[in-house]
Amino acid sequence: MRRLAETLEDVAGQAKLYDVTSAAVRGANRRRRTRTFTASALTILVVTCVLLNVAMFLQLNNGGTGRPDLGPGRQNGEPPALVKALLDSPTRGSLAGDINLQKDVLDRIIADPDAYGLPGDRAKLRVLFAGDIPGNRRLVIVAGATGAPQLVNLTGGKGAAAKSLKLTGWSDVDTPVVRDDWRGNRGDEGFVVMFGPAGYDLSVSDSPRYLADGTIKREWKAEPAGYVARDTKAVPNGLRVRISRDTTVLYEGAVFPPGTARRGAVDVNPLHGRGKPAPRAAEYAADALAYNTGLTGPDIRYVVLWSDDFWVEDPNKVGTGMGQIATVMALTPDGGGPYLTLTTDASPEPNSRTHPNAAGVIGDPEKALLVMRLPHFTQDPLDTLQIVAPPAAVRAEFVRQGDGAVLATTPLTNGVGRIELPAPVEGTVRAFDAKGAVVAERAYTDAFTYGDFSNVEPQVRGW
Amino acid sequence: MVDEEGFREFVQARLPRLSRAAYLLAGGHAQAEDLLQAALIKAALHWAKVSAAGDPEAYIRKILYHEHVRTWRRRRFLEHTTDVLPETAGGDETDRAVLRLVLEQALAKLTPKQRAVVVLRYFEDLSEAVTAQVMGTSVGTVKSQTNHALSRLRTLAPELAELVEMEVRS
Repeated sequence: MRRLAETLEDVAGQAKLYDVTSAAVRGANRRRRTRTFTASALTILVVTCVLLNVAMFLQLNNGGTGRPDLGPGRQNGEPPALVKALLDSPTRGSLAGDINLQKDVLDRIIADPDAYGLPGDRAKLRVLFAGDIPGNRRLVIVAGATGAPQLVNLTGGKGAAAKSLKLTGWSDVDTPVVRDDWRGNRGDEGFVVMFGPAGYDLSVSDSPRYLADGTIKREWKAEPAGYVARDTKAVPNGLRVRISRDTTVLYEGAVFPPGTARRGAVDVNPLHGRGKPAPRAAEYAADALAYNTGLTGPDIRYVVLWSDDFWVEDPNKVGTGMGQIATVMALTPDGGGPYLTLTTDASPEPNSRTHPNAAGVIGDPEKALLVMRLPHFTQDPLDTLQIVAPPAAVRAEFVRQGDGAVLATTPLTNGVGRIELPAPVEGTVRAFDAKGAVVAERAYTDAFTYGDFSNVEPQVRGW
Repeated sequence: MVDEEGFREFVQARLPRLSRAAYLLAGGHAQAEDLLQAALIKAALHWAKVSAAGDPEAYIRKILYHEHVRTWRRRRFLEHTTDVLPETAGGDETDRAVLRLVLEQALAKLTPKQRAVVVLRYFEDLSEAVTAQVMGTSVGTVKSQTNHALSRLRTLAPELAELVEMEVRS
């Protein structure tokens, strides 16, 4: 399995040798001379600044140094069937009825279609969205109904005229759903706009309830306008958007909250003495959980389900040594909640690492059974499966999917134990009490999500 | 005058790595060339002091990062999650090429700081503390930016969930 660093090297391998040394030296010498020959240099500086400002203006007004892609299918051809309904849908947004604005935008594009990567034929242009959206922005999305359709984003301040809108983004139209998810440099700056083809209903759900039985309860509300436009700052916890027709879901996915700082302390002592206190990892895990889910406040309890020391063998050698590991749950008033496991290495300023498959949602922590592969700092996953069972459990076994063979068993101390089973495995883990009765069981598979909360409730793509 | 010889020697020795870092940050040849040139001009201007300090590469890395963020602030690209993801059939080399393409597309949709933190942490292999020094920010901010960036990568391209698994440090 390849690593991110290796693939980054592959990407970087496309770089040329940008031999700009001479230019750099010339630039430095020129700047040096400015200190000696102030008058002439000042003139050069003024000219340079003017030129730079012009360049910045041009760059800003053309969406930066890049431009939308041209190429086969941008100007002609029939749209793929997958996106045809989307391209044939009426304009969405609060300015869907503003014919003059849309005409002015299309006139701009037709005057210079190559600058937008769109066809110059008005009949092949589609205004998919036009509206003033939260954050005092105006957004117009125009697509080409061609063989390789592309859409462009034109944005400006609220109320901006067509000529003032700037080309700020573009992408292929290759799915039947438009999801414009922009985040600025600050974590909470940005917006999300989503819509699908005409004829589909759009509904939203937020603030899910995590119940004691481990299920998630959501209430869905229809969005009669047929689109979602939200300011990132106003995205509520657990927001999901569903685009569906009758009982068929075309798309369902999460919209991430802006990121929330944890309020309140976490009791670093693990429940029922499961493992030993690992305060650093517990604090980090609670922070990460609050940040990702937005669950924080007086009615949320952060509890440590299990924690321990954890040996880290870091191939980069910066964190090798005895680190810590902790599984922390955000226990909600409904009795359940999301959980996350996090490891810290031995660095003085510890690096933390999310766990391969120990994030999700559980119900009552007294009854829950967690099975997770321990985190790894090297190429391959570890063979070790960590089991965190109800405190009454004294033994656990792993039963293979299909033939029901018991692949491994382990004694449990305070409900905690480990099984050695190389990945990938798929089956059921059962925990037994001292009398041999099953006190908990759950299915397990080596599907690694690495703390990605979008996988707590999986994205649905019905195409 | 700049100590041209010393500066040239340093840059020539480190040019391949600097070029690759600039390309990863900028995402295109022309932009990478501009970015690297701007950074080297600044380094050359202060070369005597930079070389005397003993870690010219760290200095240039810091300039690269700040130039990258400054330049991108003018661009303000919108991000989309609707990019084409190539088919994943094929042999190892095909898979490798596909991953490269997917990662490149996903990187282009990160914010400048998110992109920078990925490059600094996972390409340059800097610790969180050193990354914080380069970015001129706190370790906590590096952590949160890294978390944001990796979440975004996974959201933009679920294929990357497996790819990043060995390197994830939230």
